[in-house]
Amino acid sequence: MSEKTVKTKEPLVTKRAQDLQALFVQPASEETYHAVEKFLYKEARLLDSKMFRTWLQDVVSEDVRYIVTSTELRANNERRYDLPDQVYLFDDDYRQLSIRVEHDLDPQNWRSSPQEVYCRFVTNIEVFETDDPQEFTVRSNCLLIRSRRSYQTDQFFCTRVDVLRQDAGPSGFKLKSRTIDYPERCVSGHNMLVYL
Amino acid sequence: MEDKLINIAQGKQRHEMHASEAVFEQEMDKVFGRCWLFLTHESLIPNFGDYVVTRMGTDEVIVSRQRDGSIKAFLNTCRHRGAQLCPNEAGNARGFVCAYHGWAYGSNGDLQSVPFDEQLYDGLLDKCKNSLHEVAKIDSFYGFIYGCFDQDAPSLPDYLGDVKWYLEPYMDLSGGVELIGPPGRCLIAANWKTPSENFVGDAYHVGWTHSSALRSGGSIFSPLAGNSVLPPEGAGLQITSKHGSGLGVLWDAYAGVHDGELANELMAFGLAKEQRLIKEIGAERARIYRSHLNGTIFPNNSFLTCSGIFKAWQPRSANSTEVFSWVMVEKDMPSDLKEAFTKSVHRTFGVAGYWESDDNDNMESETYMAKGHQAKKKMLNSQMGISGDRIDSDLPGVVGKSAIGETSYRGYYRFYGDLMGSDSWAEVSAKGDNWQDQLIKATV
Repeated sequence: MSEKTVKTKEPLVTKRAQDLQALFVQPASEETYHAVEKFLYKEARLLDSKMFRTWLQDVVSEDVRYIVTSTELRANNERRYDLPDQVYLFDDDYRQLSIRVEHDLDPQNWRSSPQEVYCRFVTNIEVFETDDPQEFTVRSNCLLIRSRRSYQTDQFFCTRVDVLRQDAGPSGFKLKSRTIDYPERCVSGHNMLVYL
Repeated sequence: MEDKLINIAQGKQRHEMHASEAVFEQEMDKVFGRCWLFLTHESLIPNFGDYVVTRMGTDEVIVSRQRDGSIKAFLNTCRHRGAQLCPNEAGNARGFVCAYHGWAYGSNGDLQSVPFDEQLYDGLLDKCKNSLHEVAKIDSFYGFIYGCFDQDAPSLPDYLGDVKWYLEPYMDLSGGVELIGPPGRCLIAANWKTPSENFVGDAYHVGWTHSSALRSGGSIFSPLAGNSVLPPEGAGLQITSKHGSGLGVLWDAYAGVHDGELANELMAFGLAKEQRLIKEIGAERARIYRSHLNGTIFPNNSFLTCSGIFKAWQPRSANSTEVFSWVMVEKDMPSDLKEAFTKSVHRTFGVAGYWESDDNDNMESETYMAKGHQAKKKMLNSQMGISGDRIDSDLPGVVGKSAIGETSYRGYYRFYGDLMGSDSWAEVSAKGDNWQDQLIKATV
């Protein structure tokens, strides 16, 4: 099969996945890998503990872009229908994330009392170098289980592609961007008022 | 226990309606089998062969643009053994081929080919009698496409009735709106009527339910946070119509739920267009264009104009609803503003919307509590403003006494009660002959 044939037949979603592979080329050093691993676990701990303001301050970069898309289901051989196939469930900067955090922590946020409980599992961590020696591309999987009130348990799962920048602060890095294409088209967990 | 599910005379409804599977089964027949249901917007299927797959009640339908520009809709099931025909949400196709045995249908619903039909069916398969099951009626208003399973239903304009007059300035006279897809989708553990009734006429909950969203987000509605003030007398309107659709108006609130610099840009855009529209359509209707409308097209299609939120609450069971969230935006908005607006709509009222989650919690708890054996027999109260409903010579519909009231709830459930208690559209129509009187005379 010629390369051209492959290209024209490629579904958009496959092409996106292949384009991402270009980011995952040069593995970072073992030392960096372990530092990143610690960073991600710390982040998960802060979020599980609902320490959202500390998360913003110690983990999130002020120029952050936090994206979660949901991709419409289309035929693999779809070629003529060219309206956008992605909706941005999140496309937030630092100010917008801060609004979400303050919304959640507000004493009159009725849904936050009694509190939800979270448990995050971060796995499949891979760390790659970028053109900038201070920055790394990190791919990881995240499973987040949320327990709410007496009977509700929700599961969120995704692959995250982050860009981390080395930082002199308490976490060693800051999150410059996080991009998630959420795998479950119809979100079964009531809402996505969680940080993945 | 009162006999009726709906008590029109006193503006009350039995709580059971939010959780009973028996009621739900009846609704699929008497409400979703009869009413005009939102399908899609012209902007999402612009070309011949474009299609979307959506829901009408518990049925999946393919909505397909025809060669002549018209639109047809079909059940998404193969005529042979009933398998799902099209697993995609949207696309462009000349036809649909069933994955089970390969029966192939045109985009007009005709059965075009059946593998080995000559060898296997001995000429006994009449393809003409095996077209896809077509939705009886399709029509559109201002680009919004609706379908109806019941041939006897009134026309779409008649069905919409008095709400049209309020929607026209924003949806049409503004230069028109479009829907931006794809929709966000999520499942909530709520009966489909709980969000529908909230959007049709609940301005009351905003200051309390959304306390934290108002305080953290900084929209033009923020002063309401924590019920610290009541919107002033004359802040808006609330109206209802014969077939249950209804809406609320908050005057001049064009920036809606949006915040920050975006809200300022939206306000400037809306003001400039209002100035232009005053010359074209007069000050009164130009003001409606720039005012914030919350509403529901009966039974399950809700919107917030100006804020740009457009919803279908699709029933899955008595206790489960799939929420579809699109962005509704004026076609002539500059593209960078449109993009920022689109993202802000999903940020506030999408799957991860921080306003939306405040609401869904109420809807889920109303539904959950309706399962209680004692609670389900009790009557719910929608009596706010009940003696103040009136006919107004300048304003279509039955008009409530204030923006904060439950007039639209009462109109919504008046019609719902008629549908549930009737065996045909003729009977429904007869019961609604004096619909205005029924609402105006209601009292505690």
